[in-house]
Amino acid sequence: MISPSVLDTYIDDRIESGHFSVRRSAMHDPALFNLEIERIFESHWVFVGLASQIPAPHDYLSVMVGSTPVLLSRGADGQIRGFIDSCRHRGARLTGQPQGNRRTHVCPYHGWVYDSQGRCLDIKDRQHGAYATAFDAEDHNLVEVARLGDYRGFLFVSLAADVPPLEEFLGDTRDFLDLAIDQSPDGLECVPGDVSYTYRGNWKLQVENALDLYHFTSTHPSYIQVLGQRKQRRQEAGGGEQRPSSIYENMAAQRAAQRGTFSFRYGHVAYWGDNPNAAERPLARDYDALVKRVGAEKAEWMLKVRNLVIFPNLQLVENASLQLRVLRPLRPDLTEVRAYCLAPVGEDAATRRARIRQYEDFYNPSGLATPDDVAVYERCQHGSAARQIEWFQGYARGITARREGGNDAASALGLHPVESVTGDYALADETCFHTIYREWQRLLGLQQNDEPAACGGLEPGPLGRTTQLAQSTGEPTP
Amino acid sequence: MTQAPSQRTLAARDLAEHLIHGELRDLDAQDWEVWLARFHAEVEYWVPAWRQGLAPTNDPGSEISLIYCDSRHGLEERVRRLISQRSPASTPPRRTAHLAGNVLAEWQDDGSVVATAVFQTFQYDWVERREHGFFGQSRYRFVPNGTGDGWLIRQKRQVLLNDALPGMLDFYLL
Repeated sequence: MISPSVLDTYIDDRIESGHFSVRRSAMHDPALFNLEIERIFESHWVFVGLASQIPAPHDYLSVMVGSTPVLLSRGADGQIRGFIDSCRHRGARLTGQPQGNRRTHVCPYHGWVYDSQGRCLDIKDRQHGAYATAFDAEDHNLVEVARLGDYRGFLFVSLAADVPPLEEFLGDTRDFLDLAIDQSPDGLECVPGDVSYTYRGNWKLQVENALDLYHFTSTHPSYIQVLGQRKQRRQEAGGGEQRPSSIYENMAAQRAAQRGTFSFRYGHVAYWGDNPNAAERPLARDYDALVKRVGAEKAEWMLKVRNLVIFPNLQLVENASLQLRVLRPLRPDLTEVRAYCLAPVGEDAATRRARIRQYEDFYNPSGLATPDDVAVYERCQHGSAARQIEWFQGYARGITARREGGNDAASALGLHPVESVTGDYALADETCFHTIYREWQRLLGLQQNDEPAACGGLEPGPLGRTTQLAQSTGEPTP
Repeated sequence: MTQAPSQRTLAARDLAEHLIHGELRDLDAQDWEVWLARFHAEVEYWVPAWRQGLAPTNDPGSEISLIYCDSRHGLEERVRRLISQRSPASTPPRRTAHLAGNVLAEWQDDGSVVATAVFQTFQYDWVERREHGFFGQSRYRFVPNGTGDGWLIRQKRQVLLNDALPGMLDFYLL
């Protein structure tokens, strides 16, 4: 077991003197990983799925929350409930498939039967079982998860009861979710097709990558090269070329565009960028109608590049098309990513087709960009295992550009971030990771302070981050 | 009862086996230009995803595929990326051994040949010293080339059965 004093040194948060860093062993330590599963994934809100995946009564989804199997079932009454997916008798997992429709769930081992609302309907041969009255007095129904929350069809579960209401947890990230959901008057749907992959690296590498603008030109030059060749081919062919275009085709314009990040309470971060190639977006095809429906301000924000990380396991990434990623840590050095292409309900066939091609091109682990991300995560995992170097130097960009609270961009959307940064493309802010690691540290129980990690550490909590660091390591300077 | 195959059917199978084995040999030899030349300019190259684990997606216009190219340009892009030295996932390329078996084929009314096969592809990352195998079912349509002295791949569809991807997937690993 890790002692709190050691845990407290995983981040070195002295932002007031321009310093923030994360200890490299945060990506490797098995004891720390177990604590992450227990105190983050199994004790707080995590994303589990979309209500639209289980639209009809008795539809179910079988998911993992940390290392706990969870059954999400829509009852005969239309209500979605979450249960620990484990028979009360010998513990067998009830669902044999990730998704389906079952009026009843029958345990394949001894035949106990539960309905889609979790009630135990039958204990096989109960009358012949010579059960004591003590058994009859027990509740045999499936055990419901402590909390299930639904924000406009985005379903979250917490296995612990002492969490804030989902609305408070999500806070202003709801506005960012709305920017995706409201792209059609009828909401979003999941385009059919399962895509999942694992990488041999820590889950936090993927959390960071979704907000990491700094890597794009150095990790993806082969993709940028392909885009250049496409553009040339299209010009030569006189515009008849059918290959998907990309918002990254015009890197010069991208570099001139404004970019920014908002950090929110509970470790969530939104990254945004003006999109000079917005006309390439499927959403831009009927822009006038969009403006009429949601207003000019919101329509403009819908066309921006937006990456949203809802800590710990949900990422909603939108550049040309819209991707939802769900992370699941498997080992300190192994992570599963499930990816979903989301699209506005009612989109016309040609637009949908173009959207899907763009999505596959950029986001698929079999596409032209994501494999390179995965390859660099694995390099990071490999290299950062070197015990001779204690601290990363990867959280320093943007420190002099960050400001407490909001800015003009935040005001335009009516947001109240705890920190915000705006700059050009090459700024590539890294301070947006600070909020994530502060919340990570708070959930791991490293501070007595129960306030969600928010403001930039200018006011040390009751334990005093800097004091604590000095006590446990002497001099924390990397 | 199974009917005895006609000489014509056996000839189609021989032709398909020859073409499939040749294509896979080019991949293993990493002879990319020769490999690309086997494809029709408007080839449909398709690796569908699975729909809730139960069936492969069957409409690339409304469902997700793992890879979908509707012309040889898409394959050329992948080849160029692979050899660009600028893709961390592709540098250096993995070593591969492609196997195809259970090849069956029939002539079609339009003069093309449609073949089905199972595939198994072993890959070895010699830097990390680790290996992986993909396997599945493939379906090809071959058409005579313009001059009538050879054959081109007009469609290639591969259903990947083990679709939990270890980090990444690319054309030469299938």
